[in-house]
Amino acid sequence: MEIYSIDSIKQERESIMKTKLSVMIICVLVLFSFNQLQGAETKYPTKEINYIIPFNPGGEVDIEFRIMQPFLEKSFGVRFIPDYKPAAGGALAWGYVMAAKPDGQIIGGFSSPHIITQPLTMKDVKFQTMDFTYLTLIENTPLTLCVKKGFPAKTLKEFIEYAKTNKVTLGAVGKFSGNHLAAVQFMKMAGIKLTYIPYDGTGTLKPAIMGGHVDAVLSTSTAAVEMKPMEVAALAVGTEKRMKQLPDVPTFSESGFKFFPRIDRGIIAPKGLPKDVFDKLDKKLFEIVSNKEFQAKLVEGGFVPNPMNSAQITKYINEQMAAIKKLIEEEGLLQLKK
Amino acid sequence: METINYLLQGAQVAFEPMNLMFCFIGVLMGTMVGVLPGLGPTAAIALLLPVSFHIPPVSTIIMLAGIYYGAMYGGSTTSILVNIPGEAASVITCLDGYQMAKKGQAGPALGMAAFGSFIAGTFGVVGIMLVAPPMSKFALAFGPAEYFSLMLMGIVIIIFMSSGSILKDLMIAVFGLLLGTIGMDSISGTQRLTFGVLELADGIGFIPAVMGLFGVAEIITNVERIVATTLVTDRVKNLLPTLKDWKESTWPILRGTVLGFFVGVLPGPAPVISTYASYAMEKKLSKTPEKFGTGHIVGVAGPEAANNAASSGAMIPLFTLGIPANSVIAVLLGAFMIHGLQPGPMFISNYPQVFWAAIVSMYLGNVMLLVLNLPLIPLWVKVLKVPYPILFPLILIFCLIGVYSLNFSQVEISLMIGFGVLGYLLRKFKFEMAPLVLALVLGPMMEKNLRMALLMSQGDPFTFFKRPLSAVFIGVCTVLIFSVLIPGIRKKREKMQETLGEEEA
Repeated sequence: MEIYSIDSIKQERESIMKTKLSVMIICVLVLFSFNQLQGAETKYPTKEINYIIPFNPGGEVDIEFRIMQPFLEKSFGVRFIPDYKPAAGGALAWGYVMAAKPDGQIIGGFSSPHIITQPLTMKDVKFQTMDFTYLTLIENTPLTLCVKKGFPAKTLKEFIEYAKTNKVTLGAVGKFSGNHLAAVQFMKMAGIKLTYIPYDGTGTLKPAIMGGHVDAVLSTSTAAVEMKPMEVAALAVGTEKRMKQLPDVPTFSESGFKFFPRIDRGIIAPKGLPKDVFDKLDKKLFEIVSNKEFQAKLVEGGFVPNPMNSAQITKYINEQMAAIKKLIEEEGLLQLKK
Repeated sequence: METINYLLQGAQVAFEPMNLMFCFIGVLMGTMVGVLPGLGPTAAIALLLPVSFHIPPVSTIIMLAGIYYGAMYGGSTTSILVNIPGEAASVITCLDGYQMAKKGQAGPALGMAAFGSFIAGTFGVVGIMLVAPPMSKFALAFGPAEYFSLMLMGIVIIIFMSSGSILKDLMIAVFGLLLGTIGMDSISGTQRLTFGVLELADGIGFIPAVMGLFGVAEIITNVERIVATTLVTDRVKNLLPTLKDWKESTWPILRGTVLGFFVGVLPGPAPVISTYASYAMEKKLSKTPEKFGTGHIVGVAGPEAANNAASSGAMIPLFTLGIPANSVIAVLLGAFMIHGLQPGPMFISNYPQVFWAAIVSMYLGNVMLLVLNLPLIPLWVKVLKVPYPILFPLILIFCLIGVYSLNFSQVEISLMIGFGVLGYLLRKFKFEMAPLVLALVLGPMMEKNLRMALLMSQGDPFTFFKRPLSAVFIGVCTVLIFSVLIPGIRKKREKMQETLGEEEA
């Protein structure tokens, strides 16, 4: 008996559902035609948004996205799906974002100065730095100058004096990377010449300085904190104010250098977004990156929050690009791209 | 005390139900590929890599390591029952194992192989535990010059030890180094030989290459030759060796363990070499050398113990220096990198939970293998009967799906197929695959370290001879290369190649 009744209830429900569904479909169709006529007020976003991650899972852009994902999904009311396209230091993924349909369904993370240096220095890159809509800036990670155990210089001043008369090797991650350019800029500002040794990643850079194979490294502040017990001394950090995690390490500007080496990370979309989609993304993303709860989580992950909206980040990238172009030209680094 | 503490923490992770399951899957898969002729642990690990992408790093390492030592167990089964080695490290086991099976002693042969493997595996794990942590402190002394010389030595040793022609091995190693130059030159930042394909900017993907060379090529090769599986017996009785067997085998097992472990630490196809070395040693030490080859249990026990210990030993350079000693370990290295774990001097201190959990899981895995495999032997016999026309297309499909699921890149599928065809041709022309794979993996690292060392020494090439450790490695390379020219050694190598050739045919 009971089975019967459950079945009949089910059937009834189903028929109600069916009516509801058809009503809804009609409504949607009406709305749709209405929209067509009016040409205004889209309901973006209506389906899940793909978030392109240009590096490996576990890298900074991935960690940042994972922290941001719940905030994004709450604010936009749709799922954000990470899509990893790691290759060529991010260039493959950014080429993909550039060529994507500008409907707001595909957005992605970017790192600067990577997105600026690649079109300048790599041959097969399909995009130019300004081929994107820059939506927001989220955070940065400052770089620190560290020296090996037993290195004669104890301060930034002593380091520069020492390097003027002695051969000093400086290790950092990559060539034409943010770290490399920071190293070039530092040498220029300090008026010294160091032998630059490029490493693959922080993973191989750390044992190199701990084993004393390079004299100094320009490395992320998180690595500097980690290597402190191994008697690798941080001489200067690239923030405006001293970092909480490294209270006894002075900033570069304390020694008179206007030098803030860091990697910036934010979000881009293809160029030519519809106005309403752009407005919504700009407003909501800025709300998230300014959210105190979100920022606290970033700090926990070792990042320095630095919220900017679309207009601010576009201006910032333009300025950075001009500075980097100038640096690359002056230092004669451009001869590589024919 | 510290070690015990870490070990307990590792045990905690390894005993999590999920990790126990992955350990189980690993050793089971390992045994299966060990049993199946034509599919080795390299191909199996490469096949499972894309899957491992979606599980936590600790579980991945546990599972993939399980495949590696599991295959050493499984390989002996086919050697004994069918006279076809399941993988290269079990070639020697055919000599006496199959003879024993013919005499109706398949049970004790299989049993002793399993017990020998278990004992050696356990000792091997203890060895890693004792040697790896102090070794990684020492490894900080390795600068670019030392890394370069060590890798050079690795390639020279693998060429010297391989069973093929030295000339061909040199050719194929150089070819591998050349392939390794494709992609971004990390010192100058320019792209080389990418022909505008952005997917190649990071170099040739290692996984498509290995899956092509070992997976696809293996299948193409097997399709054209009919593998006749003639089982000696369907029923295997008396798996537990008798007291007399034990008496004969205890010392060979222990000797094989020690020998295998130290051969394993050296670069080269350690598990394979260690079996030959152990067999030769036992024959020399034996009072009855004439019994070898006629179904002597010692000829099974020693080599089977040696290959397991060697597979543990080979983990040490991986964990402490981040350098793969052979092609299986090279694939494992790839797995570490995918998960963002950088093997090297800092590995054990950076990821103690991963390292110690892996160690504990190896203990567990060895127990599982022993408990599982003795009763499961009838099942493996059945697996051997799966017709190849069903098995091969399945593996091929796994390869295709697997490589695509990694980066969703069609370029990598084409690469894998290309390498499959290349691997097939290389096999036809009797080139060894190991120098190619090792050179492909080590090439970019070697080049980078060579150039970094030169940058640091302000362009002085003698830096490689001035630094003592590096000088030792270079010295070993020189001695090995020139020793090939000495008539006595040359004859011995040729003789070894002949016997190897016969066994493989």
